[in-house]
Amino acid sequence: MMDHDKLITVEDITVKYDRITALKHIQFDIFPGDFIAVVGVNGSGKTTLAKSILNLLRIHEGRVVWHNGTKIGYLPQHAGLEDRHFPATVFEVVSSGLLKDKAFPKWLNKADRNIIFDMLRLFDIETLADKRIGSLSGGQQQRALLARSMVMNPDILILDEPTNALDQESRGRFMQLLKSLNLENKLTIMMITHDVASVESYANRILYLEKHLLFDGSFEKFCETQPFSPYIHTHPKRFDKKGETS
Amino acid sequence: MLPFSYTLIVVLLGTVILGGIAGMIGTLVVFRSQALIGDALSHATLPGVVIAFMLMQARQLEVLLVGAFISAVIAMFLLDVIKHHTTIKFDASMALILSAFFGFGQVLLSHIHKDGSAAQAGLSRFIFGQAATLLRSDVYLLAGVALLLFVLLMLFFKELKLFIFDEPFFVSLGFSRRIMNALITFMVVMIITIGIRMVGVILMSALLIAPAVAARQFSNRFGINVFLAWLIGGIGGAVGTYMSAARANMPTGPVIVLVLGVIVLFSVLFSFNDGLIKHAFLNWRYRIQIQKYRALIHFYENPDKAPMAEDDYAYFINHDYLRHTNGDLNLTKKGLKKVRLIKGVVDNEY
Ligand SMILES: Nc1ncnc2c1ncn2[C@@H]1O[C@H](COP(=O)(O)OP(=O)(O)OP(=O)(O)O)[C@@H](O)[C@H]1O
Ligand SMILES: [Mg+2]
Repeated sequence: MMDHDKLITVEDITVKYDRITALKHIQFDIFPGDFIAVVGVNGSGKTTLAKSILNLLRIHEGRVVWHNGTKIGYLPQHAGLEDRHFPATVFEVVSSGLLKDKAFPKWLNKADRNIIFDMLRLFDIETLADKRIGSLSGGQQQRALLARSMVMNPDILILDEPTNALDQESRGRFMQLLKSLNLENKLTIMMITHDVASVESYANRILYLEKHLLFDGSFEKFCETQPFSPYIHTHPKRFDKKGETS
Repeated sequence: MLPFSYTLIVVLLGTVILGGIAGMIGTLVVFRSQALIGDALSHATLPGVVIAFMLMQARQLEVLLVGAFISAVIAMFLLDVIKHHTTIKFDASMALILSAFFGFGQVLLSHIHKDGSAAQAGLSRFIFGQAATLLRSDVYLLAGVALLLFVLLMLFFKELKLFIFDEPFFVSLGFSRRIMNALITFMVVMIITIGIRMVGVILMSALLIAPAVAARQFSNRFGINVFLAWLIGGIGGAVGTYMSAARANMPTGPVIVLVLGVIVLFSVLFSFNDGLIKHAFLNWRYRIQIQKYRALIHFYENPDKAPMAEDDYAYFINHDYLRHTNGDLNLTKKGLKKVRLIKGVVDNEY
């Protein structure tokens, strides 16, 4: 087995909610250094796939393997902040990303604090460090949760539509950041997105879901083999390609 | 002034320990938005107590409490089954479990009564509780359980906090949701089991919930909340016990709950997060300020055509809110700050 060079294996999983089957026989591996874009229409099972990988759902058939203690940073699609009055500051929330690695009594040392503040600075929320998380705007909360998923120095980041609450400028900067983390720090990324138009500029691999895994491969291949995907119609690149080949 | 008799001290110790630890555990339940679960589980202990008595023919507290514990665990298990295998809402299933178990317990109790068993009187104390007859051995048991729960709480404090705040993220770190659920359930059931003998199954949940609700009004930190709930629960236990002892025939449990209720009421009034009194005060100060600085605000908004009364002008110049620079009348830094503060209050609070 060559499992040591895989981070995660999704082994033929089928996931159901009551009577609805959300995923059917999905199978793929995630390799170190991958930048995967997961695309598909609303309700195609993207979030379900992320949750299944994270053990948040009961898997009916198959299984998900995290190879030798893969550390996963996760940003949910909907920030789990139902209680806006929960007494936790931004700093505390970000620091909770370190919880798994710390031994009892889990006090933060100087190095931890430095990492946390680096992350707060990276996402431009250091001035909000002592604010209650529930008092922040949606975009600010999303940055805090991103900082939390990064602070643990994960092997892989799983991001469920990470930019949908960010403003235009932060969106561009964030994608730049992800790209450089992927290229320079070899951080593996799996990102769910509807922004197919710009997928090409960062992802090396596309997963196209529609309950089944309809496609797994490079963007170029995606354009060729999925001509009737609703996404490709709206994608300008397709017309460029036609121009080139004809 | 009531003399501190031996019995009173024993009872005080018991209620203070119970109130404190129940407040701490209750904080977890309240922040999980499962305040009703304490009520459901405490009512669900009744049939367990009665069945333990019927099976073992024993009146020892420990035997009855084991029955209560098992009964509550079964109820919790049923709640879980309902949650995962039906579409019944969680609050509805809690109400169902509560009434079904409590009703069943009552039926069993009346059955014993019909048998003419003299012990029936001893069992019905579990319904309303009977703190006044607390024994020294009861307090030892209580203190042991409280210590265990306290240690568990401290050991897993950060995990519990994160689990309650954001369960999916907690699980995504590789922690077990099942173990955490089991831990919280264990702690809640334990505290209920040892509490019902003192305050009874009907009022037990108030001991869990009230201190946490009151504490929540005063802090933005989870840890401080837990500490405050401990303090408030302990104080409620002490004051309630003392008051009930000062008047003959006043039942201890209900008086403690009453005291806690009053504390909750005051905490809601005086909360510095968003207490009613704070709102009233801000409102009042705002109106005073807007009276006094109306002309200044007006000047800030229309600096060109602002006719100002002599008095106002003199006051603002003298107190350095306004100044002439290069022949123009301008707001000073201080003046600007004042206006922004008042307007800020408008934006934030109204
Ligand atoms: N908690 C749930 N209970 C029942 N059905 C669910 C639940 N969550 C998702 N589903 C169903 O599973 C299917 C896949 O949902 P999922 O959230 O994974 O889609 P998605 O691809 O993330 O969509 P979107 O682009 O809107 O985020 C949908 O049909 C949805 O209705
Ligand atoms: Mg989704």
